[in-house]
Amino acid sequence: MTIRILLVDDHQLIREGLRRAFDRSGDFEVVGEAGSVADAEEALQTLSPDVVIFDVRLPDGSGLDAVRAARAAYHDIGIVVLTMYAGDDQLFGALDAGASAFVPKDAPAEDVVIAARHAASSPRSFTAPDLAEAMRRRMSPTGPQLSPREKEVLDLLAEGLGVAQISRRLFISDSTTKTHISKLYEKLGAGNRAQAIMAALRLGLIQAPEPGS
Amino acid sequence: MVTRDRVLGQLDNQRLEIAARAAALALIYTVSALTGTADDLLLQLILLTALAVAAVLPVRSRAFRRWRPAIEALVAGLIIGSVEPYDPSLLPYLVTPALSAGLIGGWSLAIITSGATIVVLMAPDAIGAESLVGTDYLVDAVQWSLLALAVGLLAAWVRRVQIQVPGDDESYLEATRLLTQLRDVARELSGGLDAVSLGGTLIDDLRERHGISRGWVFGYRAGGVPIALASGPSSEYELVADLSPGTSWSRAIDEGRALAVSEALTSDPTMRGAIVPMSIRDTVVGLVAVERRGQGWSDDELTELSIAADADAVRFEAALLFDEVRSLATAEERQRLAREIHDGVAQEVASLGYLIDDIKAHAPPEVTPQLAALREELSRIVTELRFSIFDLRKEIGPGASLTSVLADHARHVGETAGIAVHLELSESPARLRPAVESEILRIAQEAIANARRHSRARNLWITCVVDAPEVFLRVEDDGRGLLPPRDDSFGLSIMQERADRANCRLSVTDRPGGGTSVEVQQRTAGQRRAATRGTRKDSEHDDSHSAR
Repeated sequence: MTIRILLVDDHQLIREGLRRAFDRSGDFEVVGEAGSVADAEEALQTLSPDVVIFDVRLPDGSGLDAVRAARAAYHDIGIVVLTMYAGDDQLFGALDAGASAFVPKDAPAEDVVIAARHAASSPRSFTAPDLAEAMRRRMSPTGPQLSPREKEVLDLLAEGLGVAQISRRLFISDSTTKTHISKLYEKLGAGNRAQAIMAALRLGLIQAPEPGS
Repeated sequence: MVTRDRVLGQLDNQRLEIAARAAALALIYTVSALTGTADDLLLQLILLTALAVAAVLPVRSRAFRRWRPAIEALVAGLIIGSVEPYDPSLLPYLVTPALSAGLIGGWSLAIITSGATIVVLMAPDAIGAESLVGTDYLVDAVQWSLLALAVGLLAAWVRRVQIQVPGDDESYLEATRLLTQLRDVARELSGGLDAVSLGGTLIDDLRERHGISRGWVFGYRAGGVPIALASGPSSEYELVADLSPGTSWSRAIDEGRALAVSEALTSDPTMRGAIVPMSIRDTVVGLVAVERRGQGWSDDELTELSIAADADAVRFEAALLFDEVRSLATAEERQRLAREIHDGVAQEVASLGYLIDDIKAHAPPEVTPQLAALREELSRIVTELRFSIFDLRKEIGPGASLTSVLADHARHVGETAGIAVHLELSESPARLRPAVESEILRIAQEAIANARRHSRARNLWITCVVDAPEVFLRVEDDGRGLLPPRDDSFGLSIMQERADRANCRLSVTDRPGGGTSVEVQQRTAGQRRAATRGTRKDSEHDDSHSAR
């Protein structure tokens, strides 16, 4: 049984290249091409393909929004996201939007074909090259490890206390407090107090204060 | 360019001129009819009516239109003077040429026209015309001439008011004029409109004439972070511009006046500090912090400091705005470039890759390895383009600072390229100028990209110390080190240009123990002068290597 493909990319050369790749793979049939979000929506409705290949940047809107809409409308359609952009944000954006696979445009056409095959067989799972690495980066298991004392200093910094006040609270000298603070900045990759607190919040090392408290 | 409002004003004036003549003629007809002299004056009445029509007919020639009221006054004077026996009922007509003169040519033409009226009216009296003997001619003539002068001047005033009220178009004209000026200044830069040198000059001036020991100049916008522009002379003591509520800084801004600080500005206990807001009317555009050894600041001295600071405020604000406009334009251009690469060359190269995939699938096995190598190279190029787009899209916004953006970028590149990144960052609460922040970030990006692309580095050490307005950046890797220069290598010269623009010294050297070290350091005032003379000591050294 052949897998029916819809190609959505505003660059004709890219669509042609992918079409040839699918043609020579045998078990695929490219049933349609679209160059915009609007055309893609129409083609999805009239052609009901098994798998749609989306570029994330389209002339009339975000490809990721189109992916989200397609996922909402067609529960079991396979969706492969193609992108020229670098960065983990793109990969996780595709994951959040409900894509089945993510392929950067520097990968060979065969990778797109493999991704499409995966998307057809298990549309509600997600695959991407470098996925494990990206997940590891996002979970950040190698994130900064704070000593208990540093954690105490961080909490007091977040409360807005100055160096002298922290020293008094923890019964340590000012210079020791300063050492802890500079160590903290280094571990958090921060240049000042505000950045340190922002970084700590992002990494979940401290909790944002309750509103109104 | 004639504005719509001015055209409307001219139309209104023309109606006024016609109405004035109609009223004058009506008055003259009525008076002469009532006094029963209409028959004696028939010829003059006809002539005056013809003159009135001639005076309001539209004409092409601007010069004629301008001088027509004066001619009209002369002719009218002759007509009125030719009445025998003397009859004052025609004199009211003399007011109308003066009115037109005032509306068309302003007060000078109004005076000339009234003057012409007087001369013409006086002439018969001067030559002792018999018909006038025993009449009130002289008194009447003088009275009506003066009345004409008064009306003419009033009309001139009306004209001025009309011209002075600017419509929307006038505002645009003014804006265009300012933009043109700005462009001219921009062309002659970088001397005149440079906030940094203005700040430096202000500090020098305050040191010379107001006895300060140290000074700092910040750009400031309500609710924003102070941007450090200049400080001097340098010292080991760090100034912290703490604008949180309750501090002297925030009080000085709120009250808009210079304050002597009770707490220390720096940790130097021998100094007495003051904070001087730099304002245009009531808007604070900058902050000047000063210190002097020993003696505190009197109210009079604080006032003098304020006056000195405010004197530069407008130029200073203009320089900051100009800086901002330039940064915005650059940022915009980078975004455009990113889009262009993304939509253009990157897609085309990527599709070439797909083409090679296709050829490879059908090619005989003996050429497959070459095609695979070609495909790998193309993939590498597309990867490079993707990173370029990523770099170009990265901007330092008002929320994020240089070190945080730099840290994000370094971590991302390090992780995707499998390089361990070691960061050492320090940043003062005050910000660098946006233009400097952006140049430093771009230099760091280039250095990091070089480490990733060419050197097979395993470690990347990044140090960035911002103590605005000073900045220090070092990017080191443990890769293959400097390679011999290549003809097509722009990387280093672009970094050098960026460093020059940020007023920094760039050095690219071998790192002890292998690898490359790129350092960017703010020039001191002395080095800056040396650099502009082109006698920079390390320039030879810089050019002899390539980071690629």
